[in-house]
Amino acid sequence: MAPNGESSQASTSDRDMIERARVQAKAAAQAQRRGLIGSLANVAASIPGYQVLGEAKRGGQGIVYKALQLSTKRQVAIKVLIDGATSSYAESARFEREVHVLAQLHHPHIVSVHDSGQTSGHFYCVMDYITGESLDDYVERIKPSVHDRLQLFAEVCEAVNAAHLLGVIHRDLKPSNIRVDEAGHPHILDFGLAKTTGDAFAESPSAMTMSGQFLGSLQWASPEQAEGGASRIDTRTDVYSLGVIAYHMLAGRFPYDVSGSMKQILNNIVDLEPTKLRSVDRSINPDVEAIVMKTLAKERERRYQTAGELARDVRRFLAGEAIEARGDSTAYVMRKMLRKHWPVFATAAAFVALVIGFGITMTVLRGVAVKQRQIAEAKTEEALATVDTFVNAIGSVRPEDGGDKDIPLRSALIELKDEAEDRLGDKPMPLARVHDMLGQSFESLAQLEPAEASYERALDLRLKALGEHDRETIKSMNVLAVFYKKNDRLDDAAPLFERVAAALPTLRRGGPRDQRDVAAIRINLARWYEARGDKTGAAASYRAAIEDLEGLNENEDLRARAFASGNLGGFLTSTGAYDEASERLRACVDALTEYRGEGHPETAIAQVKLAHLLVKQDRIGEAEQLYRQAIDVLTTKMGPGHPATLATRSHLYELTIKRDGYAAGRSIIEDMVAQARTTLGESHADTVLYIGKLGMCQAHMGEDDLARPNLELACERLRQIRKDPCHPDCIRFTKELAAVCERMGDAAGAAAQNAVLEQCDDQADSAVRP
Amino acid sequence: MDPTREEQLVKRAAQGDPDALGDLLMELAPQLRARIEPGIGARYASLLSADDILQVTFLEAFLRFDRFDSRGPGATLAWLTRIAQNNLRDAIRGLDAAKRPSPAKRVTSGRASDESYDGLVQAIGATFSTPSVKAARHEAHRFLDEAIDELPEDYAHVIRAFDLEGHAAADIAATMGRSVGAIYMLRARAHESLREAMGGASRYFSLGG
Repeated sequence: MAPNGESSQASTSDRDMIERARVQAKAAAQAQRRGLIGSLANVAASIPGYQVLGEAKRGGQGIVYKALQLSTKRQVAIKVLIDGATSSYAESARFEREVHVLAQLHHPHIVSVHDSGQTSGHFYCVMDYITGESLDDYVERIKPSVHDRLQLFAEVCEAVNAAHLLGVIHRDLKPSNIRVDEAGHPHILDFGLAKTTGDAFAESPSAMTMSGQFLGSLQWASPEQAEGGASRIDTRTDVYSLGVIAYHMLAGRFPYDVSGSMKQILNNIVDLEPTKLRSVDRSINPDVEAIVMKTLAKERERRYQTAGELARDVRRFLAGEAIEARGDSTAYVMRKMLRKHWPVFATAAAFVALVIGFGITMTVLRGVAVKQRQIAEAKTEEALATVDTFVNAIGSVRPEDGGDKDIPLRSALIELKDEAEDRLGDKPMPLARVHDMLGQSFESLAQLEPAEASYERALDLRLKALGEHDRETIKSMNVLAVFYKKNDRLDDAAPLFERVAAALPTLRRGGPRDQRDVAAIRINLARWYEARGDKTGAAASYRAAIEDLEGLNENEDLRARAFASGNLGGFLTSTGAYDEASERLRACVDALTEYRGEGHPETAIAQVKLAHLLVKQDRIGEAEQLYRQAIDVLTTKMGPGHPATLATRSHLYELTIKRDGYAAGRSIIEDMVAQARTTLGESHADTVLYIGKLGMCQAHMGEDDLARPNLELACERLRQIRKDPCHPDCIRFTKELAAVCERMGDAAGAAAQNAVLEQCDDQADSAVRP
Repeated sequence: MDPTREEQLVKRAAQGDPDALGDLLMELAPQLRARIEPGIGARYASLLSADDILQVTFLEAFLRFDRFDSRGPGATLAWLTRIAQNNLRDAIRGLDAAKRPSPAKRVTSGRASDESYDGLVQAIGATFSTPSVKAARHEAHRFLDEAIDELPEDYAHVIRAFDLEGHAAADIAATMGRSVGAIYMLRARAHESLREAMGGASRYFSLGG
């Protein structure tokens, strides 16, 4: 290893060095653990009035010792908390208050706290020592009947309810925290993570600790814990964990897969529906299944609201009475949506009941206006005619209108797709319309894969039924092409746009509907031309679209004209024709403000386009104000990770670094990258672009070691995505990367990047030379 | 490094699989070495090698991987580079400082004394927080000993030999088969680890002051 010795590299391989490091690190970790355990044992031994008999249990928070209380000669358990876990003022205050609450909580099935305090910097509490075994060991050893298991479970629920009534939420219920004594009764232990309702100290931002560890036991955690929603943790969180415990007691397994990485388990808890109990064991009574499944509902409002309600339903079952959990059927999702989006679904519900048939009973439809009821009673052909109504209705449930991006809506859409395929399989046109709607809805929810599948299915159905040149087929082609383009899949988009452009002249342009369709296609084609750099084609298409829409005065026509005008304005900004651009863009903002309102995403996007023009005109203050307004609206209505929100933030970032320097923009771009990675995914073009921008920012701030991997990634991925190493974004990042390599002393790395740049220069030269 | 493979290895390493971290380090070692070598320069080439830096960087990687937050492809190399550059900086700082030694600084008795313990406490930036400093001193020294025992072997050896027993860096380097620069680097890392251990032991010390 000595630099002047006999070739350090030959004598010591990387593998040897790594192995040596590994051995030393392992030994140090073991020594630390031994030191900590020894230290805690000393702390326990120093508590006056007790004689430590031995170690009873080790956990993440500390160690529990079995001890003798010298004054009473009874056995007790002393729990000593690990130093640091309770070192902050908030934590220690919480611990003391929790002990105080629990000391007053006298319930035969909750372990009592007798004493507590602090010694040598460690908190401790003295509790009942329960002989017996953990709940899972007990069930495994005794193998009680289902009846006896439920009896035991009801006692657990009643004890948890007693804590809830005092405002204490356990937050870490699991079989190992429930001991069953020799008489077969449960005792709940370890309120170590308990929170009291309204507990300001317990409102930590998430279930994750600062060191990134999950607070609590993963497999038994509720969806709200898994999502890190500390503010949503209440008594129903314990109800959920009780559900997992009941499921495990009855089925001997978890309701979903809890193997794999922490992230995977958390995802499963949030997303995966529990496997039906009876599909694991057919002998389980359907009522028991209903109780457990209700307890395991992902949404808190669908669960039992208290552990007491759950205990009562279990008792009802044990007494042979009717339970309350029955009735939470598959109609729930639609019922919930009906309540939530009532105006939208008022017309759609009848159709759903008649044609798609979600099993919604007339109870659900109670209150639907007479007109809709008539539709519900109509014959099948007439019902099919309501497909449009339904499609329009459900299709308009978009995040930007309602701010709802929730999972029930997505689940309902998936269910709807399957039902539609089953029931409309022999009716291609209505099925294609349903897929149009599904594609839009999935896309609005940023579910790109199912969106693409639906758009493709719709086109396929129309190609087979109507052929290449039908108006509906061309519209469908156009929709799919736009989808590809929006997602930077230009190779997929190109042939479709070409087919659309070729078919356009053959279209009949009779009534307003035709005019609208043609205008919409023209606008999309114009944007395609724009993306390809065909300025003449783009401007001509925009202007033609505006002409197509002249004379049409339906609200939607005004909106479409506003879009065309906005797009043309945006395009004119890029060509330097600022006067006409300003006129078009302001007309667009005014029209959308009037039609959609100020707080609508469409208005916000129009404002963004106007802001771009203001930047070009060097009216930075006005532009910044418009960007910020738009970001507020888009974040609220579309979500912080939506591509439109991120794109607007990106503009604000560019403006910020231009005006105030890179340091001022650093946090904006870092946050954007994190958002994009989460929402759009690692390989999305926007994510890659933002990673590249972050790399540029870091490089400008002198952090070459951080900048380099980001720039390398951005260059590599963008070259693949753009299929062109000489794309302006690629060149920008490549130049920066070359500079970084040079500064880091990596001459070869810099040379490789400079070679790419030279090639691009050569290409550019040959393009301008005749 | 292939992003998918990196992601898989990082994932496994984060789950506590030391083989995965070993493989990850193995694959990144050549790039890491290439990044570090130019920074050593001719001036320090006789006192420090890239392998010295890599050895300590690997150890730090094993000790601190649980704190590594991977932000995608390339992040591991960036993280390792940062550690390695810090190590290089510490080594160079130590070598430069050794050229202008403070006469009051070293007690070369070869045995640990109260003064050398106090010097170490001062060097890691810890202060006594117990009400009676004198009464707690003996206990604090015992605690310091325990904390040093929990450090990785190389760190513990350098702290004992250099800070407590007062041996010269060149002598320690000779007994450990390392370069002089490596000793300064190990000492800086050892101090950092000890500082963390002391910070956690709040009943004896508080950081700062």
